Amino acid sequence: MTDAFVSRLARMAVTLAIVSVTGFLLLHLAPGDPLAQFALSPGMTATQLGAMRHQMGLDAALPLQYLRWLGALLTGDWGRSFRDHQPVLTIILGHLGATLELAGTAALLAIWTGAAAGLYGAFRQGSRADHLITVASIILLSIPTFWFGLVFISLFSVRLGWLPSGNIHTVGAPFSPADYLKHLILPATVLALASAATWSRYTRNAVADVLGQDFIRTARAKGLSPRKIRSRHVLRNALLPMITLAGLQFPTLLSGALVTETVFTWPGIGRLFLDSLEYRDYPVAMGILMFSAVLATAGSIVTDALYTVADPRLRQARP
Amino acid sequence: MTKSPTGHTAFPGAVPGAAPEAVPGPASAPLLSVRKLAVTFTQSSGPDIPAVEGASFDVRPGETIALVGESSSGKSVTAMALMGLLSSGSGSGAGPVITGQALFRTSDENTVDLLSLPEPALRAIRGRDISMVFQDPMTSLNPVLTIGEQISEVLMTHDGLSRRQTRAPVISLLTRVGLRNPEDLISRYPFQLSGGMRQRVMIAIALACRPHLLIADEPTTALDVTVQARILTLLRQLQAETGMAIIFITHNIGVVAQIADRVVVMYSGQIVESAPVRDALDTPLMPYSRVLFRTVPTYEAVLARRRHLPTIPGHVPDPRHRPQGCTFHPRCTHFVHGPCDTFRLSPEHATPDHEVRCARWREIARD
Repeated sequence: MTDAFVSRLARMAVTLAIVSVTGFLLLHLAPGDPLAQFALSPGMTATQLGAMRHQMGLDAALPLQYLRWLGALLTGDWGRSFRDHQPVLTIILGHLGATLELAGTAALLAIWTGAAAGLYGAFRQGSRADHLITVASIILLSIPTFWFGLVFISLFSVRLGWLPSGNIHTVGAPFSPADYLKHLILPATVLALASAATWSRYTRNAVADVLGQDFIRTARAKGLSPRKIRSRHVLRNALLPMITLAGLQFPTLLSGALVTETVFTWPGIGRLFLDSLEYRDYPVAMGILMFSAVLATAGSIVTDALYTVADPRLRQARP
Repeated sequence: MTKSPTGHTAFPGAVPGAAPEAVPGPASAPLLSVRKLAVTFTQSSGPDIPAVEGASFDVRPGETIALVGESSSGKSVTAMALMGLLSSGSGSGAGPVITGQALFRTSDENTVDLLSLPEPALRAIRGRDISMVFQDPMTSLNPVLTIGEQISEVLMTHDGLSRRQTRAPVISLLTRVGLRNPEDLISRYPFQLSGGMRQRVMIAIALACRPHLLIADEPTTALDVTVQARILTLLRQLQAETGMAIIFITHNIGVVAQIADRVVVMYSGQIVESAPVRDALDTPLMPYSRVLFRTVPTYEAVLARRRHLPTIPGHVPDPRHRPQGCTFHPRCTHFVHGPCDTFRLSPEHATPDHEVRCARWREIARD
């Protein structure tokens, strides 16, 4: 167990190293200059720009810049934003709450509706409802998130006026839970749609797969009721692939939040990332990249651990 | 079997025990009496597939019936039909069309027709009065439940015991099927057990509620030869203890001689011969059974023929396009035009106890 854990940590380190190098390269190779905004201001001289460039360390060779950034990161210094000189970690943590609330709500919505639809379809294979769920899932999966975002805004905000079209709460109004929930509904639903479809497809296949197993026939031959068979024999086994999906969906929800947050001007990590790209705010962009990568790899470690709990075959055989 | 006085008519929809004359064999009334069982799988496109046609046989208390035949001869489908396991219990898919009658005497002395019983009533019989052991013990146990959980749930379902109350009976069941350290075993998972041990667990599950009938669908096929022999011995011994009847499905003729009282031979969805084990093995009348019982490789035979084992030419006909007349006629060495390829034959009684579905059994018997 400890050996496996250590090797997993090592793999995590390798993954993070690859992410950091690739991310750093891509950011710096992309056209644009963090100093472009300053260059436009009147009275800014080339000497001043050069001094700024030197102060920000942008005049060094790229490998050197990377090593400096990495060295600082390893000592716990995530750097400071080019834009407002706030510490990167502070900025990220400041935006993390909003993203977690959005992604968490969406995940709950997606798992409940998706798994419920998938279970229903698997237990009534070949029925009209099953076909309907399958077709609906495929449609949801084929249409990009931003399209749903725009359509929902135009329908529920613009035409019907039921829900606000963006932001996390009404600007200028004091915070109230009701107001916050109203703002949460649309982005959370949009973010949940594709994920719910994935859950539905996955659950249906996992459950259908278990239903075809020999031990289900054994359970029926024992005279167990269908309800007992479902709860004890089917779900327990279908849970295993669903844990995997949860691990896989976790980073997807964060990346999906990027689009959704942009469409709904939700002040979370996703929008922060887009903003940082736009301003070539390298420290913030790299910070978010690394932060997400850590979350994603940690997610897969948690998944593995959960898998071990759920599947006795993965536990060590007792002596 | 049905003791038809005329001796050659097909099962005349006979009520079990209708025979007036004294016949050899157990005198008790049948525990299970299957009449004209037919199972047809319907397809939305393509022809129907008749998996079993007009199968009739009796099982008496304490008797072991060996249901033998090649793959796809309808043995397992017959068993599954009796258990009501052919339609998926979850309402998806209608399942095959099943006709006929299977009168079974339950433990509370009611006679029910297994084929027409509604699912909830059938559920009360499954696992309690009729149990089943399957071919592959590797996949027939739930991988994520402990051995103890999988045995105790039968007792909880049928005997209304609580989880705690099942501990003692579960341990005694494990001991009875010859497993050591039962206290330790109950908290183990199937993957920690060998194939033979798992099959013993399956048998423990099947025996939990003292069934009157055990259906064993090729229970030793997936096991090593030495383990096979031990499982067979165990089944015999448990049968002697409990007096249960066994329907033993197998394509292994060697096993038949060891365990069966009666042999029922199936070919291409039909019962072609049915006789006490001695008669069946010594004087088989249906040409198919004659070849079948002779395809068992004995050491001498293998030596004599130098790896030339007897085989049956041709193959089992596609159930969608079965031949006219006797379905075995294209492969039969006794085939003659007319009697063999014109009409579907009905089983006839060669002796009161020996039935055969063959147009030429009288000539064959004289050979």
